[in-house]
Amino acid sequence: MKKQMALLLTGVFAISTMVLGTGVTAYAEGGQTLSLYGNADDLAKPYMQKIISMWEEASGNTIDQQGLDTDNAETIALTKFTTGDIPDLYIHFGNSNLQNFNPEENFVDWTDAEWVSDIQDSVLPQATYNGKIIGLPFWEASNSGCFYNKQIFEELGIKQPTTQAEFDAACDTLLENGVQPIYLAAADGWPILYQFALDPVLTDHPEYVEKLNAGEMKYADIPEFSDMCEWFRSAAEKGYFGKNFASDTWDYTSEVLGTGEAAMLFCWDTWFDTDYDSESFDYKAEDFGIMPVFMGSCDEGTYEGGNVNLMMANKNGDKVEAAKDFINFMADPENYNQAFDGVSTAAVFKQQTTNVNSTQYEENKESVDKLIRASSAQPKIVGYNQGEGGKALLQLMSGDITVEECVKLIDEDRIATLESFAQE
Amino acid sequence: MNRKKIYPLYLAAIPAVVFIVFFLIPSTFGYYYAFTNWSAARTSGLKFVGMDNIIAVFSNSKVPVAFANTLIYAGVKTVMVTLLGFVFAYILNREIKSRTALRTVYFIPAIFSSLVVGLIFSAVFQTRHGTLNNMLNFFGISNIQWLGTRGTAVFAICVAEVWRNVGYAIIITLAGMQSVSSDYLEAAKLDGASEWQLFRQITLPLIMPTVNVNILFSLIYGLKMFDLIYVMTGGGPGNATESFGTLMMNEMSAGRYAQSVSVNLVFTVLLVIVSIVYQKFSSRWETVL
Repeated sequence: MKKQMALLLTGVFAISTMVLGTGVTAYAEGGQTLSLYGNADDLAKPYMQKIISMWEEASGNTIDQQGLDTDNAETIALTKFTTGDIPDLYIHFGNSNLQNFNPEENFVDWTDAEWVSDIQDSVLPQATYNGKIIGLPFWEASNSGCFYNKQIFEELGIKQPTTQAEFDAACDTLLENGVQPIYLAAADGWPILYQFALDPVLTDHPEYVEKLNAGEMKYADIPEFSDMCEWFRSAAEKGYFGKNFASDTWDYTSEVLGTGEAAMLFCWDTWFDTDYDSESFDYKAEDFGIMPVFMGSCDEGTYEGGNVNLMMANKNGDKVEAAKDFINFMADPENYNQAFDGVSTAAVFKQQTTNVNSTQYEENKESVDKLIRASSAQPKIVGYNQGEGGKALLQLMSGDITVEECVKLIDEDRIATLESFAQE
Repeated sequence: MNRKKIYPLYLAAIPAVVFIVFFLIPSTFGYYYAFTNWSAARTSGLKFVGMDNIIAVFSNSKVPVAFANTLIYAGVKTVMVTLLGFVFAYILNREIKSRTALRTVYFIPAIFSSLVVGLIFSAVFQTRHGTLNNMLNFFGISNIQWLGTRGTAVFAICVAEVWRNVGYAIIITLAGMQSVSSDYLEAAKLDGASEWQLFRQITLPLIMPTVNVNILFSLIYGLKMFDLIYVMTGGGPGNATESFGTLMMNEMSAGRYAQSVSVNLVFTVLLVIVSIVYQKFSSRWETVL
């Protein structure tokens, strides 16, 4: 009798804990150990460690975190996947390389999950693979745009541009007054950030991505791509990037902006919180505002949403239910708000409230929310190469090649990767 | 009596085995991947794709620039390092004060890693706050983008590479000069030979084997240049300072692993050809007295 009573009480306790306790579903059986692979640096993020420990405490399960060498994380993970060593949970940056991991075969489809409607529209496309949601975006995000020195703009009577023509006119005014309009660290290649120009085009024409990745289309077939190149060429010629853009590096960004030598920068808002050196220069981080990027491809301008990591569950693993439970736990507003409490980031979830938004975003929230587009070129186009594309654009801006040659050069690199990945 | 011990021939097998096991076999197997579909997307179940990747190397628009730059780096390095090594060795071989100290000073750059040398010369050639531009500014000359145009960037890389390597050349050449028997020189002096004749007719021919070693090393390491370029310009501006080394790195970074090995294979063939040709001709310049 005592034994039966004990069993009954244990059962009632277990059920009540599952239903009332912590949001952990009935699938979470304590005592399980899930394997998790991810970039070591990514796993070390405080909010990631926080959510893991919260779930471990709530569910009684543990997560065996295997941080992969940061520089080779994707290659190591791919080797493991191809040899059948697939973890219960996997973190990936959600770019076009994700296809190498065969998401449809390996990862749980979350398309019908309740939390999907809670993800910001500017982030959702990164969690989508072939029309299915294959992971939970759980990461710090930023709003990218064009950052400008509010004091300089005010002193010169320049209003925040709303069209490409107004932006170019603002650059002309700055030039006339001896201020370099834009600091472009072109020597490093990647800070040219030409994906900003492509995001609105790919948002309007999602079929371009499929055609590019299928080898049915080239960059030369996209008029806006050439428009973007032409804008960079003419902007360099007019002096918008100053005289030294070919040797300007990202290392001097704080100095050039902080001294007022240049008035604008293509960047992301969290950079001003994490990297900008407010202490050393006249202009502080709060002296900069955010406005849309104008790169010749979109007249109304654009902002780029954050690039985020995805947490995915192995659908063929024997602990799939526990893995799904962990992801559902992460997607619970109460839990993610605890994990991201005080973290400087844009909100990835609609109900995310404890994160700290940037000053720039808060000041121009309406414009950002209206014109923000999901990051598309970088995560979606197979072979998209920010660095190599930047190098080709630098050659164009230096007058070494024409717009047509530049488009061809960038495309050659993309196609080389596409063909390499498709080689049978 | 010759007291030198003659070791049995089979002992030569030890270095040969090490060379074969740790270099030849891994390299040969490595080159096999040039003929497969190895990429970031495919790391197992590789298939043989024939000459596709080798053909792709020759149709890569960056290869001609990388090829030209590689020859420039190797050519400039070989000429300058050999020449400067010779001049400084000649000076340091004479009876001058502080000779020992100077020998040490000239050799110091050779002990720095390429990364350190690259960072030093990046600081020297930077447009903003670069040492060289600061000096020019002092004389009222405005900043020059040393690393911002092809000509000046290639020049800057060559300067850094020559600076780093001239110490080795000095030491090797100096060793060659010190091995020239004073008997020859004294006999020639008694016959009335001038300083130039001593150098031209005796010293130079006798140290040619040493100079040849310098030239061959400079040539091969010049062709293999990667680290300094990577640190100073990253192959830029644009692709202006790319070499075969940086090209391989770019291919690897883009996940095109087989193509990277293909570039390496083509490059290795080039190195072997250059080495064989040089060895064939250089022996003609050597003299045995």
